[in-house]
Amino acid sequence: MDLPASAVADVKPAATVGKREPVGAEPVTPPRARRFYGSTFTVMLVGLLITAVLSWGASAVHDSNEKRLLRQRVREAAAVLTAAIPNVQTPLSSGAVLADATNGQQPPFEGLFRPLVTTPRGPFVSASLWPVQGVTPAPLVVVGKPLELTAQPADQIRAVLSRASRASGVSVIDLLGAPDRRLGYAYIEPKPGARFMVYAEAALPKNRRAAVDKNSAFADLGYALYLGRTPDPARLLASSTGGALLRGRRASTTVPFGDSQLLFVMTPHKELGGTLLARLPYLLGAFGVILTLAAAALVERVARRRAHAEMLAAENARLYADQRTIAQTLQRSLVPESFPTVPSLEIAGRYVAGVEGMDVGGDWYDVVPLDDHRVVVVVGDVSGRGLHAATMMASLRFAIRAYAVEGDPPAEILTKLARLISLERDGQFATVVCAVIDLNAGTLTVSNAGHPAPLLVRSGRTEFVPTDIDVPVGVTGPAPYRQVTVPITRGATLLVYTDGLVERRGQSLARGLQDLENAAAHPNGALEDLLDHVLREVIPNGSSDDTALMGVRWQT
Amino acid sequence: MADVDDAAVATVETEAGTTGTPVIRLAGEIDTSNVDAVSAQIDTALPEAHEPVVFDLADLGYMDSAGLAMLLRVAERVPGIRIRNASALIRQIIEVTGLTPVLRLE
Repeated sequence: MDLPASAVADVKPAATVGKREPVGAEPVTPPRARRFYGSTFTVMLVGLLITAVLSWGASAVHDSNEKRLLRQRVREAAAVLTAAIPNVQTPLSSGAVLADATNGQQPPFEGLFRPLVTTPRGPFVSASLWPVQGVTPAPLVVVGKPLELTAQPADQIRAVLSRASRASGVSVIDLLGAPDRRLGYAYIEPKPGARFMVYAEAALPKNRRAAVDKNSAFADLGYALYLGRTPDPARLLASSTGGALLRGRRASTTVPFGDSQLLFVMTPHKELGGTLLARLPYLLGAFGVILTLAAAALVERVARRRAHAEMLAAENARLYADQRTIAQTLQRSLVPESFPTVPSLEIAGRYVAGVEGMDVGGDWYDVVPLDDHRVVVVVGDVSGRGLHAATMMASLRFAIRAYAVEGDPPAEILTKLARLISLERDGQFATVVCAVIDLNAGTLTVSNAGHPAPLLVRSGRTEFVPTDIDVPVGVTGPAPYRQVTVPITRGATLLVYTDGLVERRGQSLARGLQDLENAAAHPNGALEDLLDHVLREVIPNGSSDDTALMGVRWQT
Repeated sequence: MADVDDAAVATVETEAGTTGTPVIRLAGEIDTSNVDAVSAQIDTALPEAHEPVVFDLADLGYMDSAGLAMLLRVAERVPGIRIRNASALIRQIIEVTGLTPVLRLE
């Protein structure tokens, strides 16, 4: 029999319950101070990573876009510059043709160039006519300001003449080192026997600075213009700042200029593609960081809450387990672990906890010997579960023992018992079967308060004791309780049980009772074996409800 | 600590019967997990005066002993309640527990 062992085993944890300190006094695990959860870190890491990738992507798009726009602007500016070059070249070639036609006379040449050198923003500050042949090169005519070229050594001047005679167009002469910074243009008609060279000089701003007109299409750009192919500071013709463009994004192109080249470098003063695209990486970064921090804070909060909830749940489960252990211990201690020795009677009991729910039920059974030939057999079931059911069961059990010892017949016991419990007051009722077996008289007297009827088994034949079923104790009904007496003989077994054995969801009660009869009719030896057999057959998978089963056999 | 997912679901409806007796219609399932809620609904559905009441259980799929106890508590306050359309199982339980004088089956 497994009941005594399990009952004893369950007493131990209950004993510790009494000693346990109140919950408030227990050392509660302090909340982990400022230690973040792993999930928070993950969210932060992923968030920042995504932010970085987005920012980098936006930045790359912006960069590529700006480069493309700048290259486009440089091409446009170079086209404008190229279109301006004939302003220099045309007067020189016209002058050369005129001088050839007029044999180098002064008045026509002066007539052609005077307006060009006197206009405030004209292309030249001075123009001159030189003979190609001659021992000492000297100008025939000079219009405008004195030439810087004449201040140069004679072989320098010869080099200019030689260069101009070889060039098919205008030769660009670098006079940037001169006191009055100038750029010279020399032109000799590209034909055999050309006699004259037209030479003009343009003055460059002294500080090399020439700001872009605010209304210009290029007002949003800075520029630098160099003579030659390289950004040589010594050959800087002009720039928007007066110096080289050192910082920021730059794009450059070269434009052919006479027999030379101009290097044109540009830099944007502001974002060409608009400020939104430029700010996008920063905006994305800022938003990303804010979102990441918010998400991390949220995750942290959720994680903390969950941890807190888990802690509370664990605490609740522990408290509940405590309460359940108390109820279970009480209940188990009230179901007899061993039975009194009564001559000629074999007594055995089984208690099977329900598989559903955690609370103990209020099922019990009991045997009270009255004298050497009479015993009171009781089985009952208090409605509800848990500590309430267990304590009510204890009250009823001891009350029945007291009434039984006084010698009350079963119906009288139940009638008195009904005064102790009230559904209206206690919210509980109980079904009880109370029976007296009188071995001398060979009778079984049964009173039934709403309980499934006991089963009598003898020689493989079964019969439910035909009790009058009265209302459960605690329920107001017609009083008093009735009882019925049936004869019994040696070898008869009385089985009492609670509804967990026969009542199942989705199955009729009749079916449960039939199963019980079939199992009980099975031929078998010892009473213990019969009870095991019945449980195995009727509730092979256990019952949802607690089940009590007791057998009393009159030995042959 | 009944698991919320496993909680039974029941509805309580009241209507005036053909004979003027209020009929409280219980539907669904009643067990320990929802018996308190159903009980509270029944309390509001009960007539003020302690006049007879009929419980119609036609659509009640299942009721355990907690549900039975609930009906018995009503019977303590309102004598002479009647049970209509009870399933075979509920009918059997009422009969087997000797409650027919208290919960009169129609």
